[in-house]
Amino acid sequence: MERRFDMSDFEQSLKDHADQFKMTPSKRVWNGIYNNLHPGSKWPSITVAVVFIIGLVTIGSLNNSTIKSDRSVNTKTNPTTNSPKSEIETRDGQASAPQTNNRIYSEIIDLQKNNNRGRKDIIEGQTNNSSGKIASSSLSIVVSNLKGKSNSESNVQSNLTSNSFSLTGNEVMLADINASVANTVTVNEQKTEVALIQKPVILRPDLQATFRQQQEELSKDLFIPVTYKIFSIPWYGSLADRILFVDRIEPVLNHQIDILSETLTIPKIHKKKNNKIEWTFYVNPIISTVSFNKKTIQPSANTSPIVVLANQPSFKIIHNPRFGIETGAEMSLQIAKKLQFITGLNLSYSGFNNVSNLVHPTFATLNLNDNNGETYAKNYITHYGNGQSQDHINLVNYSIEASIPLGIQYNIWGSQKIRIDVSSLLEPSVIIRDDAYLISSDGRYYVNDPMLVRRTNVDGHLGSYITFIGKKIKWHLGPDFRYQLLSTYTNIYPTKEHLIDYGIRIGISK
Amino acid sequence: MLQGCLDNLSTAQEALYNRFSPRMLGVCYRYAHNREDAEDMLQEGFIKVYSQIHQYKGSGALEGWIRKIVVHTCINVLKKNKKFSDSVDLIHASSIQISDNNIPSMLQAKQVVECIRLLPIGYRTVLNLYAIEGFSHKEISAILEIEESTSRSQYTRARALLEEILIRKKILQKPRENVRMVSIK
Repeated sequence: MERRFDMSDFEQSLKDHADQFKMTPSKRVWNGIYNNLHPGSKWPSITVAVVFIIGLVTIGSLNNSTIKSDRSVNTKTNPTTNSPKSEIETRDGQASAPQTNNRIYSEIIDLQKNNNRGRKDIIEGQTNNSSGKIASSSLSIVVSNLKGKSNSESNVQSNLTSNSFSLTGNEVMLADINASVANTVTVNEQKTEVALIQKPVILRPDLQATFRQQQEELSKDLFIPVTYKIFSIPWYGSLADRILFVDRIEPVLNHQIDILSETLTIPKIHKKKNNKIEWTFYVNPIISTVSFNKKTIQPSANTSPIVVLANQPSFKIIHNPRFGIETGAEMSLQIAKKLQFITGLNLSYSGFNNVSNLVHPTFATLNLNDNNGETYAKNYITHYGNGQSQDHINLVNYSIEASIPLGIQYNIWGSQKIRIDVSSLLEPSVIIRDDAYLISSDGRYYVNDPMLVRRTNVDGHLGSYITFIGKKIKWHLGPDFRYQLLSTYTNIYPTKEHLIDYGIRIGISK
Repeated sequence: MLQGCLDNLSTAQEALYNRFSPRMLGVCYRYAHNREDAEDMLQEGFIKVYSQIHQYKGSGALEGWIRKIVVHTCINVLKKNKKFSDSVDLIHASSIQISDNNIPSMLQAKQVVECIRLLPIGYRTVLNLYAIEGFSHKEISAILEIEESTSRSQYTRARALLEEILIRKKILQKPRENVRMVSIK
């Protein structure tokens, strides 16, 4: 061991060695220091997070729906009947003809002992390219048995592609024979768990897609790509000395196969971050109100004379705004220096209260327009009056919508910490759930007919936001205005109603 | 950078942290039980550094000034957590088993630090303060609230034990002219 430690000056030696020692602290240390030095920034975060959670809970309880997703990746290695079959080597090494249509084009390399020549044979099969190489979707992986081969004897043609996978079952480990380094390895007969592999292996073709997905996910997590090489060589010759082709779980584990291998290089990649796309998650508490195409609704000319005599020449619909909420995710794509394209998904609950009163059950009529433009009457039984008398009750007209905003956002002003944007969007929407109380044609009653509500609509959206740019996340705050461009009701109902939402957007993005 | 820290600019503060934190963490690691404790000490130390940065007058190296604060922070943390009383009884420090497998092969500096960390917390602290930080026994007695004679005797024992550890780990060769038998019970 090192003898540089000087006993004659113990303290000085100790100090010198101790002073040389360094350690890299974890990120949490700086985060803790920063939060302590700049404590003012955490309260808005906490507040907005609470509002966001409340908003989501409110929407969830209002919607009364859940979405389930079931995703499973089958990594079992049981043979399936759907696995593409291909040539299967028999015990005596004779290659048999492909049994099904899933045959494979490949290049055969005959690596004979003490012979570094290769020859190409084409086996009829399925391919996705004209070069005869097997596309990755129709995999065949080959182990070449080159016992005791040296570097020069293992010179495989470089136009081979090869796929490498880790063991997930009974597969046999395969070494990459596109080798420039002669490392003789032994087939690993043990099952291993799926991991970011270092050595190539054989994998059944029907598991390839699954395995590729797993490797890509692991690769993303570890920021290390898996390099794939496809061996497209079917077996040739006897099992003992050269190429073994496996396309199903045939246990060849009892065969000791010495193979040339190449250490898979897994170069580090830098995960590319798309700086142009930004996701924003928001919640908007809103006040919903409504406008009609007429402030007052005239009594219909077809109402009975009694009703006409009893009615005022015009009457008002009494309604009150109502609290609503919007939430969603928005994606902004930078298309110019100050301009962004906006899209995403929005979910909203909005509505208003109709002031009504209870009356004895009575008939009420709606005059509707048919497709030919002619008017017809539809009768209802109702016990809701028009709210003109005492003892008011509220009838809620509401809708729960899902919409896709599409539009642009323009940056008016910006600095390192703050940015001000305005946005203008169109939102095609789908009504998920709703309820509607409509004033009768004589203006005296409310009738309930949600079937008259449009199932789809279009909203216009205007907003201006201030963005506070923090160290890790950005906060968006600003007023929001949404106007329903099409009437709430279908064209058969003559009265046009448009919902109007005013709110404040609270959003976060990273 | 210093002016930026005085102005409470986060970029300057982070630059200062990035520059000195690796070495300071090494300092804390010599006092702490484990890496997590060391990082906690480092965090607390740097918070004090930033809060007292206006007191730095420029006399002497900035690193030395920061180091002093960090060391005092480490001592305060140990005293606050009563690590001294929870540690192995100093009188029975000789019963510590030194196995050959304690420390894997690594760089010399880290080997020495890991050997120091094998000492009981009391021995280790006195050794750190006297031999590495350069405090006198009088100052150590004031910092640790112990007698000066206690500080001296603990340092003597700590040094002997550390020598034994370094010899056992083959980091240190027994000097021919200064062979002392340290009885390990």
